[in-house]
Formats: sequence, C-alpha cells, structure tokens
Amino acid sequence: MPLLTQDEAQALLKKVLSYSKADECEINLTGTITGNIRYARNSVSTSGGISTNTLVVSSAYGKKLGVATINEFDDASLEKVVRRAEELAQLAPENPEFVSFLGPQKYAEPVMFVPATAAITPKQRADAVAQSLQVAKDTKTVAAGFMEDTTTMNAMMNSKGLFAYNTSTGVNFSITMRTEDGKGSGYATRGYNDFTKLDTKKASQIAADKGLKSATARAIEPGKYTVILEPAAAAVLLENIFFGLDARQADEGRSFLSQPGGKTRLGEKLVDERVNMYSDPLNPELPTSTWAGDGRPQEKVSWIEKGVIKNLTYSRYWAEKKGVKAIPGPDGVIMEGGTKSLEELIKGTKKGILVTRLWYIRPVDPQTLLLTGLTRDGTFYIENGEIKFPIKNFRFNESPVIMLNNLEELGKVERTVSVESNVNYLIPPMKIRDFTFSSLSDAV
Amino acid sequence: MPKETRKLHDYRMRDANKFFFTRLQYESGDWDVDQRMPANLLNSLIEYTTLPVDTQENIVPLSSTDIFQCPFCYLSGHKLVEFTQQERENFERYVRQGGFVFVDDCNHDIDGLFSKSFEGQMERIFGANALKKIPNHHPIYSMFFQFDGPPTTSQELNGWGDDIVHDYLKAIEINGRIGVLYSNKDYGCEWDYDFRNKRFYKIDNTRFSVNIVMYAMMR
Amino acid sequence: MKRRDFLYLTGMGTTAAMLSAIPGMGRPIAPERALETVDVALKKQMADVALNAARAKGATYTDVRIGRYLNQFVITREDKVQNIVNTESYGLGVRVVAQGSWGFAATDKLDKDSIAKAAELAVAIAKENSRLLTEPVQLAPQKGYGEVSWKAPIEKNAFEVPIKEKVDLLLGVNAEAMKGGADYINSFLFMVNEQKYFASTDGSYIDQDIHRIWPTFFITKIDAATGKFETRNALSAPMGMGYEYLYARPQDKIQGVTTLYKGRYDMLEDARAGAKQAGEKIKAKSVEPGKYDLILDPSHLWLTIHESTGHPTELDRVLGYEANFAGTSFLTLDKWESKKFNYGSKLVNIVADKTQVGSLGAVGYDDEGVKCGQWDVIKDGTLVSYQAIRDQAHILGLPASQGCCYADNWSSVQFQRMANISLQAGKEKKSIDDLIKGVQKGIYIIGDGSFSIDQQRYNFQFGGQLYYEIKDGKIAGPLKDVAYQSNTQEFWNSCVGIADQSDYRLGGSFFDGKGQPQQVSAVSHGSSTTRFNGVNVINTSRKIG
Repeated sequence: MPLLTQDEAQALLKKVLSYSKADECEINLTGTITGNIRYARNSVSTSGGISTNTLVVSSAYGKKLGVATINEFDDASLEKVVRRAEELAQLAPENPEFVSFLGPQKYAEPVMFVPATAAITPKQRADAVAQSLQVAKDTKTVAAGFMEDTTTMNAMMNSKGLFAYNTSTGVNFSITMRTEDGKGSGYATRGYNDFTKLDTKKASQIAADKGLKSATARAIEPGKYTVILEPAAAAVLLENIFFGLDARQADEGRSFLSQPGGKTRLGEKLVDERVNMYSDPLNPELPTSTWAGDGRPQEKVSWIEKGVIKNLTYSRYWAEKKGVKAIPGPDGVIMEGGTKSLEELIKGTKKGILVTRLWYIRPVDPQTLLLTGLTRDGTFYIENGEIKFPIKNFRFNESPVIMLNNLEELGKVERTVSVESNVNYLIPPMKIRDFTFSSLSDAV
Repeated sequence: MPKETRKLHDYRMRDANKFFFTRLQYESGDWDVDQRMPANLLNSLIEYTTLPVDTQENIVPLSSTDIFQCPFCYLSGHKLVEFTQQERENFERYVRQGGFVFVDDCNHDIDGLFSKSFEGQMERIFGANALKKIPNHHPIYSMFFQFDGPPTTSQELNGWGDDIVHDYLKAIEINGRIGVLYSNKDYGCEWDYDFRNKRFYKIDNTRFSVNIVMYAMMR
Repeated sequence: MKRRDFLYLTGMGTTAAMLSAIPGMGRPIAPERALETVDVALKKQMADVALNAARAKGATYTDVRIGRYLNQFVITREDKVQNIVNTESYGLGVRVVAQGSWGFAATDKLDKDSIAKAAELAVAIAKENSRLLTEPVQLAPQKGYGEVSWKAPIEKNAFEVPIKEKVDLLLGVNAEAMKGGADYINSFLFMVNEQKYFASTDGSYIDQDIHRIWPTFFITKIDAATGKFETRNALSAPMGMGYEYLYARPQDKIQGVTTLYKGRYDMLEDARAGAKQAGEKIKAKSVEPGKYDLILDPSHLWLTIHESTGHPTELDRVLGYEANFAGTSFLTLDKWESKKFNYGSKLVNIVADKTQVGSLGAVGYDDEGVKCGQWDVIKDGTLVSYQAIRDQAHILGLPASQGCCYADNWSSVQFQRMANISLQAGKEKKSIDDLIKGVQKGIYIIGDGSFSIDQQRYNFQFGGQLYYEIKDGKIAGPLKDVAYQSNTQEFWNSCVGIADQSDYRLGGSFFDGKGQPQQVSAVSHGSSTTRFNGVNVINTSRKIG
C-alpha cells in the first residue's frame, strides 16, 4: 500500500483516537517501503522489496501504560487494537517513571523527502549495480556490495492534541573491491536522501583503486602514529561519543561523562577547542526529523562547542526530575571541519598512516570510552606528503575522547555512513597524532 | 627532519649542577629515533624526584671527547651498529672511567640487526661474557619505584619483532656498578609520545626511566 | 537484532514503540496469544498455494516458510518494572530457483491470492537476476520427508509461566544485588518461540517448535571517592530451553572462586555473587601487561570459539559472499584441500552440531528442509570441514548439505548461518583445579566481555567479567583491566589442557549478526575449562581527566 498523505494519516489517527476510553492515548503510525540489492563475487546474490505499515497504540490509566500494535486498518481492527492497549494498561504494574504525554508542539517543516528516491524502480537498482560490476570487470577486481533505499512516513497523534507528520527518503550504498588473488581490498560507502546524488560507478572506482593499491601490503611496527582518518573511519569512533550523551547515565556515575560526587562533565572542556559538534534537522546535506518519536521537537543543538560539552540528552522523566529542558537524542550529528581536501591533508603529513575504514569497533572500558577494532580495506603509509606503500592492518586501542585531544588538523566535511550503526553523519577527514595501534593483523 | 639538521646542544653551556640527558650520535646507524622520549623522561624526573633537571636534550657525537663531560648517555637505533675506531675507543674509555650508557634496541628483536651488531661490538670491546643478564632483584629495580623486573612494553606484546617478552635486562658492570645498561624492550618507543598525552595513562609508563637515571646518578 | 539495538533495548525507559522500531522484532501482542498455534493442515494448504504458483511460473525449485515468531521481554531496573512486551511476527516467505537463479518474496497477507502473488514475484525476481548470473545455482540433492514434525524437548514453556512469577523473580534478583552493595542493576528475561513450517518441491512438509530463553543482568558498582565504576554481568547463558533453565538444582552448580552454572541457572545466587564481585573489582589489582597462561572458563571461551572458529569455517565467508560486510576467512579452500592445515594443537577437536539438546541452534531440520546432524570441523588440530548449505555442498564434494541454512524471520531470505560449534572436552580426567595447579603465572577468566576480531579472523582481543591472578598453581586474588590479544592459529596451538566432560558447559549468543540487510541468529558453543599458554595480556585502563 502506498504511503499515506498528511491528510490521510491525520484522518486515520483521529478515527483511532475516537475509540479511546483511557485517561491518555497516543498513536504512532509508520509506513516503510524498502528495496535492496546485494551482490558478491561479481554477481547479484539477493534482492528484495518489503512494504510494511504499523500502528502503535499507547494507552495510559494513571501511571499504568499498555501498548498494542496492528498492521490492518479496517475499523474493526483499529477499535480492537485500542481495546487491547487499554486491557494491557489495566493489567500493567504502575511505573513511577511514567510521564504524561506531550501537548501540541510546533515543528519546523522537515526536508528529508526526495521524490526521485521514492520513485526508484527495480531497473534503476539493477542499473546502479551493473555500473559497479562494470568497474569490477574493467579493473579485474571482485566486487561485493549492497544498496538499500527506503521511503518512510511517520505520523503521531495523542489525546492531548499533539499531531506530527513527516516523510523521508534515503539510500545507503557500500562497496568492497578485492583483487582476484585476495591480496588487496578497497572500500567506499555513500549515503544520501537523494538517490540522484549516488554515483555507484565513482564509489566503485575509488574502492577498486584502493583494492589494487593495497595489494602486497608491508608490515610496519605497531605503535603510536599520526593517522589521517577518512570520514567513514572517524564516524565509527565518534559515534560512541554521540551514543553516550545520555544525562541519566552521566548523573548516575556510570558514563565517561561522569565525575566523582555525582557531578558530570557538562560545561567542561573535554577535547581540543577546534572540535565543534551539533545536530540540525534542517541541514540540507543531512536533513533529519524535526520531531522525536515521543513528539518532542528536534531542534538545532550544539553538543560540543570549542571542545566543551554543551548539552546532554534527556528522557522526559529525567529532565523533569532534574528540572531541565528535555533534549532528545539527535538522529544525525555534524562535526565542523576545515577547508583542506583529503589529498591536502596527506600532502602536509611528514610521517603517518592513512586509514580508509575501521572495523569491529567494541567498547573496552566505558569509563574512558576506550574502544578496540581494526583497520580494513586500504591502509597506507605516508611519508613526506605522499602515499608510499600499503601496510598491513592494525588493531587499535584508543578512546575517541583522547583522540580528539590529539587533533592536528581537520579537512572538508562530507556525508558518510557508519558501517557499525548505519547512521549517516557529516564528518571531516581528520589528522590525529599518537593514535595507538597495538598489534598487527594478517587480514586483507 | 633530516638528522644532520638537528641542533647539537653545547654541553659546556649547561649548569653543572643539573642533570642533563645526552643522546649519542654514531656514524653507522640511525641514532636519531624516538625523538619525543627524552622530554617525557625529563618530565618524570621533575615530577617524582628532587633532582635539578636541564630540560634540553643534549646530542653528542660518540666520536667526540665531549662525551666525557656527560654523566648519562643514551644510545638507540634500528640498524647496524659498527663503531668507528674513535667511537670504539671513546665508548670503552667512557664506560671504564665510570660513565653510564643506557642502550635501547629500537628493533627489540634478538635476531635484529641492531641487537646482533651491538652485542658483537660489546663482545669485541669488553670480552665474550661481559654483557650479562641482570637479576630481577637488581638494585636498579628498587632504586626509586619498586619493580619485579623490567616492566613489559606494548611493543614486545604486540607480535612485532621476535614476539618474545624479554623478562630481563642485560648490563656490563664495571667495579660492581652498571656501566652499560642494555635493553631489548624498546623503552624508547614506549616512552615516545606527545608530552601532553601522559595525562591519559592511568599509571605513568615512564616510571622505570626514573629508576635508570637515579641509579646512574646515585650509584 | 543488532548489538546496538540490544543495548538500546536494555537501556533506559524502553517502550514498546521503540521495540517495534527494531526490524524483525515483530509487533506487540497480548501474552495469552503466545500460546496459540496455527493449524498444521492450514499451513500445508497455504504452502501448496505457493509451491503450485511458483511451479506454474517456471520455478525449478521452490521452498516456502510460514513462520510465527514470538518474543517476550521482561525488563526491570532496581525496584521498577520498566517494560513487559510480547511481540508476534507472522507471515510467509517463498524462495525459488528459476532460470538458474535465486528469487525471494514474502507476505504477511496470508490469503491465497497474496500468497500466489508473492510466489510469482519471487519467480520474476529470479528471472530478473538471472541476467547478472555468473554460474547457475547447483543444489545438493535432498529427499523429501513427507509430513514430519520436531519439537524442542523443553519441560516448561516459558510463555505459560505467569508474568507475575517472572517479575517477582527479577525484582527479587535486583533486591539481592542492591542488598549486596550494588549501586544499579538492570535485569532482563528474554523468551523466544519460533513456530516454523517448511515445505518444498522436494516433498517435505516440516512443522517445528523451537524455544529459547535468556535471563541476564548488569550490575554497576560505583566508588564514591574516586568516581570510578565497575560492572559485573550475569554468568548465565542463553539456552535452547524452556523456563526450567531457571529452576536451579544443586547438581548443576560448580563451586570454585565463584559458582558456575551447568544446564540450570540460579539467578538469585549469581546476583548476590555479582554484587560482591563488582565491589571486589573496584579494589582489584590492575593487571601488569605481559605473557600469561590463561585458564578460560566455558562462560568466556564460548565467545572466543564463536569468533575464531565458528565464523572462519562458514563456507559463504570463505567463498566471498560476506566480503562487503562481515568479511571473508583466513581458512581458504586450499588449506582445507591440503588436509594438513594445522589450526590448533592435537588436543583441539571442534565439532559442528545442529542437534545438541539445550543448545540454541538445535532443530530437527534446517530452513531448507535438511535433516540436521553433527560433523567434525577441526580434528586433532587439523581443518577437516566447513559449514555448508545446499547450494554450496558441491564445492566441498559433499553428497548432501550440512544443514546450516537459517532465516531470522519469514520475511528474510535464508542463508548460511553458524551451527553450534563446540570444543570437545578433554579425554583424560581433569578438573578446573587440576588445570590451575599446573600454572606458574596465569590468569583465570570467567564470563564474556569486550570482543573484537578482524574480518578474516586472524587477530582478536577479548575481555571478560572476572579475572583472577594465578601464582604458582594457586589463585592469588582478583585482577582488573585485563584483555588478551592473539592470533587464531597461534592461540589454538597454545592449547595445552582441557578439562574433562564433567566440566562441559554451553555458552552462546541470541544475536549473532550477519548479512545485508543484517539478520541475527542464535547459536551455542560448548567447551570445558581450557588452558592456553603464553598469551599476550594488555592493561586496558586509561585516564581521561
């Protein structure tokens, strides 16, 4: 079924709400159409398309909450799902942390929807992959890739008079090109709201180039090196800061943002003063929703300004308890950069390592945000401003907090996709000194 | 930076009452490694001891008689160590007259070029068995901080080089006192980082350098 | 569900709306609906509609999966129930071979028309894909079993246990931990029931009922003076069992530095121990980095086996199908063909087993209708086989599939997933104490912690929950900040001792992720306590101000 328009969604939600007998009722409606195509060994392995619609009803009696969902939209089904949520609420134990639903809010008009993406046909998908496969053929490399496009409609309404609606589109593409002998591997990833911005050929060429150039890598000694992290590599480290901005965890003393005596690092300088991070739902390069799933407006928020922690995220319960504004977690984060291209950053580096991609990032110590993981798909030694030779992959043990204290230089911001979380970011390539590589890996 | 352009510090300008760190420059190999290490070592001396410290690294050619003015010398490298006639003579005289040289194998590999050639040099100068393993209860391990032997470095744990944890240091002792302290552990690399980063270590990893200097100066 | 979703879910204030945002989780339902089942005759009718529709459009092979996937979550912290959620996902997936190529489609509308349309769409997709084909699908022969069924041998269906009993258990666990000095505790009970029906043009109609359970908790202890904190997670394992897993019996406990659990779990006792040990970890000695002999408990070793043996022996990784995401494997075909690739020491025998009772991976038949069994993967230290499915069996010259096909939902296409991969117990009589006695300088590690491994499965780093220093054959006291790094082949070759069968236990994961879009699967790994010599241990502590 096609996605509902704002008027259709509003009419449907009004109808559902009219069945409610609870003290409070809130309804979330989501419709998603996704298409994907996956290939490996220079051949398409799977592809598919899924369309789903879900209605979630939350009913509350006092501090007792019940939730039920349904994917059928006839009147009887809609009434049934409301009754079921109410029955569950009456059975539920009282939750002292329940916060009454929000009243009407003002939201900015979101800019996430691009008609060209919503109109993708299976043929366009196959053509995009065919271009990538052609690069593999031309360069005698072996391609493995994945492209997924999504069109989503979200709407919500509650008994306090709140209504919200938005639509969005997105496409994520990633490609790995390996040499036929398996000695080289290169990678590229792209994410856009607008499918027409995706150039699978160009991304595949970058991956193939890296794959060919990374073959027969040399081992160099693990240790502390100056690194240039491409945005895809930086993203998987930095997002651990973004995911860890929860105020309650910090207040409770169990986060890298905690300090002795129940204090937090809010308002304190944590990283280099050139570090500025914020979220902005209306950023044209990385538009995100103007409202959160519980109806709170998503606004432009500064998270780190001149190296200082400016804001933390709050649940509505915790914000009420602490008497502060309940800022929801962002859907995408933007880090300010500089003016140099990646090539210029390399040119200005006496001795260092270029990292394309980091992989299998796992927390080692939540107290310091120490992470471990490995380089992958194109790691190169830089000397006197030039890429000298490919090097074997390294394991690292490093904290993004320490890393951002060791900032040397930032390049031009670009949109990238985290291979760990699939979240999109605007992040610059960055030059970091004393990045700790702790051992070598033979993996290609 | 090409090594020949590194400024040689004139030891004669130094305050005689202050400890100063001397790096030995030699002809054959790459003596100019781990450039940020001395700053961290000197920082630790200031932080933990009352020793007056000159914070400027001193670089002296081994072939120069200037070395006889320097009570504490450091020699390191990755590559071949083949002393010239003058270097060999100076090294022997310096050590026999009571000088102290801390030699660190930057390759930390028993089959590596540095260790092979350096150990060969010592054998030729001081005789076959002069360079000996020192016991892990040697006074150098309890001179200031308490250690159960030489602290392990991340380099020897990371599978590089011979992938062996050397749980001893070697030394040439002259009159019951260490004249040449020799390590395959690559402390130089372990202690080589931007000075601002010491604050990220839960336990300062340069503490053993304090023991080495205190031993050299006190014993 | 990805690990991050899991953390999100286990975090603070999870609502059902958030749960439904996690793909594959299904939609919330009333608890009593979880006890309903779909009539087998009806499922056969629906399956036949799809089989016939696909055949009519030119499919040369078709299989149909009708799945009803049920989950129940009980989520608490300290003295509060944060959420109780039941979810259900019900629908049909149809997979075909047409013009030599795979095609797949799925529907949650289960009327005849929608089912036939899904089957036709799958054929259309297969035909579309066939133009980008390099070699046609080659399926290992598989006989039809007719109408058969398989039920997990559980004693107590967890979905029948009243919610109140589960809530009381978790709140009791939390109270014990808080009484024992914990500052925070989050506790969870996850229950899964997969009601799966499979039919194929080979003539199989297979009805299966699979149950899983995972009770767990995370305790946090904060040192007020320094602001430092330590955590201790439960030593439970997710199991392919019913609620009986939580009915602890004395004979299932192994006493030592802490109580270890075998087949049954005492959550209250573990919470008491956990609170005490979280406090001990605060005061514990920070490890000196160096080479140590490691004694690894099965509650820890399962994850090392999973990452360093389970994944690199997956044939699709070896062949390159996961190159863009999960990665490939160092165990290339030439190593297997040589018949002498030295994976580990002679003591290392690793078996793949899809039938092990109580394991997460146990089923009667896999998701392409292959009857499950067991086989050697590593024999006396040598690589002897992989984990394959029907369209890969010919590559290994196997006459039939090894039964490793799985899809996490009716709407996901099935592909090669890990079987239970387990280290066989030592043949000589040997206890945990016997192993510890022989160690001069070592560390005894219990529970799983941080983990990371490269995309070809050479270099890994693992942490744990509890670390004890071993000096001269005796436990000397708790340690902290421990992680070990090694290389798969080196590590398994340093295996010098394995406790006997009486110590054999299962560990496992509910959420092994693979594929694009990512799918999860649940898998167990058994072992007895095992000794590895001379492993590099690093200290993971840092300071950020």
